[in-house]
Amino acid sequence: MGLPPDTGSRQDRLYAEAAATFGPALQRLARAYEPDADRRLDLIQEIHVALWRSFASFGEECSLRTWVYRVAHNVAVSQVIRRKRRAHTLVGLDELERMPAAVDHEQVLDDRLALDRMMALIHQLDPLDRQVMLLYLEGLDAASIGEIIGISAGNVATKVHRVKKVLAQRFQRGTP
Amino acid sequence: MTDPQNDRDLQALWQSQSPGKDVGSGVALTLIRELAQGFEYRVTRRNRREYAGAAVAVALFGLSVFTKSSVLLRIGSGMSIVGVIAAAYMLHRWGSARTLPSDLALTSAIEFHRAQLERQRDLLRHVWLYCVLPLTPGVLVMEIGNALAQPEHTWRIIFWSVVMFLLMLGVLALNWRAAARVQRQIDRLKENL
Repeated sequence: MGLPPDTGSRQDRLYAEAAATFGPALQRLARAYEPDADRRLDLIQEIHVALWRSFASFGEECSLRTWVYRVAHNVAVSQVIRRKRRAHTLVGLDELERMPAAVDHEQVLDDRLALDRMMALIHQLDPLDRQVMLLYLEGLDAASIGEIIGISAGNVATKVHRVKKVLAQRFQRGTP
Repeated sequence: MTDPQNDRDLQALWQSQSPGKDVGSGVALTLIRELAQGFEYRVTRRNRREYAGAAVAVALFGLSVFTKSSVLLRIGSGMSIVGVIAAAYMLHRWGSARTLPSDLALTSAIEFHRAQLERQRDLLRHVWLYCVLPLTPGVLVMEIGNALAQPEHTWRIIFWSVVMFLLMLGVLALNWRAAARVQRQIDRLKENL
């Protein structure tokens, strides 16, 4: 496959707008998919290249935000699949809720610790649940998340509720 | 303290992450074009490596066609050349590394994920078709040729042939197990549709 045809400034302009608006969110997304710094940089670059390419065919099918998040999550998930070894350690919500949590008595969490625990939980989630959670954390509503991922808003709400429940348990128990 | 049941708390905490030293809010357009070419080059190089491996195998079997004294060994080498070419063609057609499609955004995340998993599952499930089936007849004929050319070593040749066969079965079993694992992931995705 060759480079997309040069559609002139529209493609570049759309990319620049998307990168400026969603750049920090894409960085957070990459962190949630890739703990290793070098691989994360690769992933971010790959997402930006895919975004730029995609804007050659951007129409009015959906909003810029939906477009950007679909591209980013699809690139990220293709990386998860390529790295099969790590994918074997990912678990669905059912397993996650059943997994025993080591108990310690730390109750007060500072933000850094809370963020670490949230990230640790996200790294364990399988791609679908992770996508839902990341979009929720970026502040998208259930309907928008459903549009990006391709599942119903009700299903999104259920998943968010379940992950929050597990997260609350881990915050209380201090499981990293 | 963050309340994990409070949406605003969680979202604020998540979005408070420092930008860090990664790409940040974009990549310069000149760099984007270079990177795009770089990704394609990487994919091309990966595929070329596989084709080079096939070319080496063809050359080695080709040499055997002209140097082996036994007719069966020559026929077996010729069949192996056809087998290697067939395997390389099938891998190129269905299993070669690809750059991501440019219409990524037209597919919802769950559909894209499912398509990727299905491709991976089919590759794992059909390893026998891509690799084992095309190469087996040639290898079998060569083993028979070897046994006939060296009757004193017949049992040793049979022994190693059986070992090779069992190893091949083991590799196939591992691939099928991996395919079943991918299928379970696909089934989990389907439950969400």
